[in-house]
Amino acid sequence: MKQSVNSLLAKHSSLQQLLSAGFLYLDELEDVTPVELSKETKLSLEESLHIIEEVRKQNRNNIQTELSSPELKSTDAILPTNKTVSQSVSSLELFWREQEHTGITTGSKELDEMLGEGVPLGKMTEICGVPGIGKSQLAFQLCINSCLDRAAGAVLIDTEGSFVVQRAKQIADAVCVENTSTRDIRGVDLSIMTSQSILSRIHYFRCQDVVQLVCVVNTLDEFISEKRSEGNLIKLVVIDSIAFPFRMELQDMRVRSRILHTLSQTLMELTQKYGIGIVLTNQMTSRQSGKEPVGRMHQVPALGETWAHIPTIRLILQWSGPVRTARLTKSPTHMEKVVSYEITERGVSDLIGKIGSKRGLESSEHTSDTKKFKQNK
Amino acid sequence: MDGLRELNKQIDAKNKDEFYKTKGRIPLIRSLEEFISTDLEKDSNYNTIVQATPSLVQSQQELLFEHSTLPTQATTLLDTAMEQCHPIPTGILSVDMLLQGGIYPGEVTEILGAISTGKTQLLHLLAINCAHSLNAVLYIDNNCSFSARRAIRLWSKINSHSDETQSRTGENMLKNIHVISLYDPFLLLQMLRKLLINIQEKTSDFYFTLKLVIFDNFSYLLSQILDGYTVQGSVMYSQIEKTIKYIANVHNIAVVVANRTSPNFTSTDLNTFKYTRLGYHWNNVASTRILLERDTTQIATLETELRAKIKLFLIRSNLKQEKYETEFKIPITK
Repeated sequence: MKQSVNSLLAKHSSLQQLLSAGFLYLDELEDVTPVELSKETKLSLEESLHIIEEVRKQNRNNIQTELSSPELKSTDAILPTNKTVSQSVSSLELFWREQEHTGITTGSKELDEMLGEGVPLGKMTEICGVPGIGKSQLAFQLCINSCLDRAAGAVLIDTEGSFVVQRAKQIADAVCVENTSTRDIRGVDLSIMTSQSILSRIHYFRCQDVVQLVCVVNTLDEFISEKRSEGNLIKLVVIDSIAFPFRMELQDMRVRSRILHTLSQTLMELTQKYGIGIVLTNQMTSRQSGKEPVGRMHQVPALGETWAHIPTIRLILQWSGPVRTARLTKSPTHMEKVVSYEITERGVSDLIGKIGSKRGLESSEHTSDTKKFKQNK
Repeated sequence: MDGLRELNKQIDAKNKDEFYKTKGRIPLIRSLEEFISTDLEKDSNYNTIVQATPSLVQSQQELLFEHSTLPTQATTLLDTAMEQCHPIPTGILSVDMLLQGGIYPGEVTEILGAISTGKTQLLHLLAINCAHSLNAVLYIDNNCSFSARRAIRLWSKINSHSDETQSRTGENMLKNIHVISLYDPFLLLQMLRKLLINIQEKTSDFYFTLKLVIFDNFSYLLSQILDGYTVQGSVMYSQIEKTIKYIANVHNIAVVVANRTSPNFTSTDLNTFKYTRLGYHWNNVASTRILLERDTTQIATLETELRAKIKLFLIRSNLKQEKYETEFKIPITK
C-alpha cells in the first residue's frame, strides 16, 4: 500500500506544490535530498527539509514497529510519548490497572454503587443537569473527596464563576469530621486531615471564555507533570460547565464542534497518560420531540448529539418531584439506573429514610437547607 | 524504476530544446501509474522524442507483471472460506441467528447507533468471544470505553455453563485482547500502516492469531479532519478507508467499526437517509451494516435498573437475508 503525500503533516500550500510537481506518494520522496526537492518543486529549502524529515520519520516509525512487539510491557513503557502512536496494551494489563484504581467517591453510597466505585479514573464522566440541581456541588465534592489521599490533588476549571470557596471549606470540614474516627479504604489515617490541607491541594483555574479554556486545557499536561514532580499527584480534573463558554460564544456550529472535539481529545489523552479522571458538567437545553407543530418540549443535555458520543459516562441529574435523582444514561460498564441523593450542608449524601411518605418530609428539609445555603452565599 | 529515470532524462533533454518551439512542454512521467499506462510507441506526445528502446519496453512489461495480481479460482476461494471463515459469534442467540453465525472475517462490518444503544457492549462481546477461541483481538479505543473488568465479567457470565473454563482462564482470554488508545486522527493512518506491516510480517505471536480489529467510535476520531472538508482531510480519509479494507480482505481479518448515527437517523427512513457523518461515500466501505435502535420512551425509574430491549436491523449484507430485524438484551453482570 502506498501512502499519499497528502497525509504528511506539512503546510497545505507546500503539499499542493509537491503534488503539482508530480510527487504523489511518499516512497517517491524517499531518496530525494532537500536540495533536489526544493529545485524540483520551487519550495523553500527549509520547507523541503521539513518535508523530507517528515517522510523519514514515517519510515523510521515503520522500522521501529518491525522490531518491537506488543508483548507485556511495564506501565512506564506504555505511556504514549508526544505525537507517536502508542503501543498496544494487553487488556490483562488494563485489568490490573483498573483493579488498582478505585474511583472517587461521590459521598453518596447509592450514587457510587450505580457508577461502580464512584467516579472512575481513566475515563471521562459527564454530569448534566438543570440549574440548581447540584452539578457544581457534586463537582466540589468530587474535588474534595479526591484529595483525601494525602498525596493526591485536583484541578478545578471554572468557566461559570460558580465556585464558592466558603462552601468548599464547609464541605471539606464535614468530610474531615466524617473521617476523623474512621480509616479510609486504603488504610490512610485521616485523623489529622484538615480542610486547610485539602483545599491547598485543589488547584483552581477561572476561565472567562473559550480561548482561556483551550489554553488552560492545553497546558494541563505540563501543569500536571510539574505538580507530580512536586509530589502532588493530580487525580481529578473537573471542568465546571463545559457548555457555558461554548453555548454563549460560538455561533458557527462547525467551529464549535471542531474545538470541542480537539479539546476532548486532549483531555482523553491526559486520562490515559496520567490515569486521572475527568469530570465535565453540562447544562440542559430544551428540545421539541415529535413532529407535530406543537411537539412536547423535553430537556436534553446541551451541546448536541455529536457531543453526546464523546464522554465515556453520562450522568443526568433531575428533579423527581421534590427529590434529586441521578440517572446513569451512558456507561460501558453499568446498567441504566436512577438513584436519589441529597445535598446538605455537609455536601452530597444519600437520601436518608427514603421509604414511602417520608420522602416528602426529608426533601422539604433539604430544600430548606439549600435555601439557607443560598442565603449564606 | 531505472527505465523511468532513463525515460525522464530523454524527455527532459528534449524539453530543453523544444521548449520555445511549437509543441510546448512535454510532461514528465512521474509515477508508476503514468509509466505503465503510457503506450510509448503510439502516444504521439512521446513517440517523437522517445525511442521505444527494447530496454524501455521490457522494463514496462516487467513492471506490469510485477504489480499485477494473479487470478484465483472460485473453488479455491470456497475451500478457504469453508476452512477459515468461521464467523465470530456475539454470544447472543438472536443476533447470531440473524447474522448467520456472527461477524465474518475478511470484511468490514459497521455497527451504527445513537448513544447508549449498546454499540460498545456488542464490541465487548465480540472481543471476548474471539479471544475465548484463542484468537487475538485488537481494540482501538478513542473514548476510554474499553473496560477489562466488564470484559471479564461478561466472559465469565457467558462461559459459566461450559466445562472448558478451567483450562481457559480469564487471564488467558484477556491476554488475547490488546488495546490501543488513540486520540489524534493524524496518528490513525500511521497506526494503520504499522498495523499492516506487523500483520504482513507477523512480527509477534499476537499477529499470527489476529482475527478481529475493532474501532470504537470511529467517526469521532475522523470528524476532526473531515469537519474542515479540506482536500488533505478527504485524502487522508480515503487512505484510511483503503487500508482498513485491505487489512480485512487480504489478511482475512474481521474489522468492526462502531459509528454514531446522525441525530435524525431512524429505521423508518433507512432508504432515504442512509448515511452517517462520515459522508455518503462511507456506505461503500462496510460490507455489512448493522443498525441498533432503542425505544427512547423506555426509561429507568427511581430505584430500578433498566435492561433495555434493543432492536437490531441488518441494513446491508452480502449474504442474503430473509429476516433482517431482531431484538436482544445485553447480558447483565454484577
